[in-house]
Amino acid sequence: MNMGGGEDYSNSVTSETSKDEKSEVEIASKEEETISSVSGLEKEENPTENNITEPQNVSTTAETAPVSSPSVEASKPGDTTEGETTANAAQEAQITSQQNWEYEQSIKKEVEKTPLVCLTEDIQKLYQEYEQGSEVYRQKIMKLAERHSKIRRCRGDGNCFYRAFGFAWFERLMDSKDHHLRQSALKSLADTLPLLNKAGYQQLVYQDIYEEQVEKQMKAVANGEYDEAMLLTIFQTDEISNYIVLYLRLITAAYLKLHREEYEPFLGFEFGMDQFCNSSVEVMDQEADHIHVIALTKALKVPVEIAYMSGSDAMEQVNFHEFYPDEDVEKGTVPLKPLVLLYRPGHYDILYRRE
Amino acid sequence: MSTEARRRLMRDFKRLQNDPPGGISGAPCPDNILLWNAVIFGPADTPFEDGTFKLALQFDENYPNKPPSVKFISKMFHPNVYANGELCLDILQNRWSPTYDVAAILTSIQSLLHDPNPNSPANAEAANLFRENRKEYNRRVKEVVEHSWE
Repeated sequence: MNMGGGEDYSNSVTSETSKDEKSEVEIASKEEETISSVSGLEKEENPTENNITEPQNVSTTAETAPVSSPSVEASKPGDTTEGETTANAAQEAQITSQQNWEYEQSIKKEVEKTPLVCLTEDIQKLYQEYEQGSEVYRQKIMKLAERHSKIRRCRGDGNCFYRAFGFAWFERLMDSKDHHLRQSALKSLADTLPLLNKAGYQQLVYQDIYEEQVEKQMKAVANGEYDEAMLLTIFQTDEISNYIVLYLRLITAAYLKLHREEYEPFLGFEFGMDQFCNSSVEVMDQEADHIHVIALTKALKVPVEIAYMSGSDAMEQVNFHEFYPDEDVEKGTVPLKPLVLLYRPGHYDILYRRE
Repeated sequence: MSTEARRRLMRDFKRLQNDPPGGISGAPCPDNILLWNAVIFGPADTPFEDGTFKLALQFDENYPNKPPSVKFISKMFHPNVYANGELCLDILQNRWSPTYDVAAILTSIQSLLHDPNPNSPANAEAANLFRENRKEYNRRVKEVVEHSWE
């Protein structure tokens, strides 16, 4: 993949987004991030902990949640998981959940210093993060570096799988310049409308997001209107980026609902598929697990390979999990090279294979 | 500025007009589509029956990715409603899903009137009375019902 050096892009990106305050801040923090090299990545959600002075106030949850004891929950009818504690336990929970909530907010603020999607970095940068840390990780990164040259980080906000997937997919189409590939991607995307409808979603939930955001952006990619800097700008702009994430979430949920016999057995006993989708798929900031990855890759017919890095496995090898959609889906569709993601516990980033 | 939130709110509004769930109504302010006024009628067979409770829903550009903030404008006496009218309702906080629309929000609040959850009290007095002195609870609720007509 021909990505070019990171620094060259930052100027053009800044000028593209200077209207948008938020993006500007993100760009700024990104530039800082490239400078701040060794940050403790044991805390995998947030690679940039050094820039504490960044003036961010993006946390919308803070505005919407009640001031006192915000996470005390009233249950919906039929919702039994939270409602069974005694009054005393609820009082105690009130204090801890308040603290918990404040803690979550402080993490959130830290996390928001990372752009939603970053510039690419040399894989060596990843190695440097662990210079003070785990030997196992260093070995694995060395191994990874044999076949991979670059990493592109995504913000660890719980949406990283979807965002990484979306960006990598769009970028793959942008780079391939293959007309058929682009057309079949647009078709796969269009096929998600009946999928969502069949899964029982109201049109008002997805129609506009599809037409005004996702399809529009992909068409621009397919028409060759975007370069890397432009695509990055799109994915760093909250309103666009988050709607793409939301749409991918809806597709994932719709696929799971329509294949519930197959996937329900993997859920906990207390969960039905509808409830699972409602609490763990559709909702922004909820992390993706194996089952989400399978569903999304199958629904969009996009192959993905994920390098799993954990501290526990054998040292010199990195396990790749392959998520390939069914091969018999459609003959005549042009095969897309698999997207490559890096998984470290709780977080996904994008990887680039050496040519 | 995101037009997506506004577009979606218009859709929500149309749905609410064409297919209104029983006992609720709502509409955006004429000059600000991000601010809605709504009315929930107290559900039958509850002490809230006959009440007409007014609420305000404040959306922002992140809707529907983030929930609106919702509060009762009418005086309310309910285990899960704070003194300032704000609600303690899971779907408006950590269980929000972008698939909910305004109709779904209002319906959930309506069913909260039906089934208070005294285990996560926002109003301790209401929660205690609900658990221990239902007669007094009903009397206090009746007061806010009458108050809601004013």
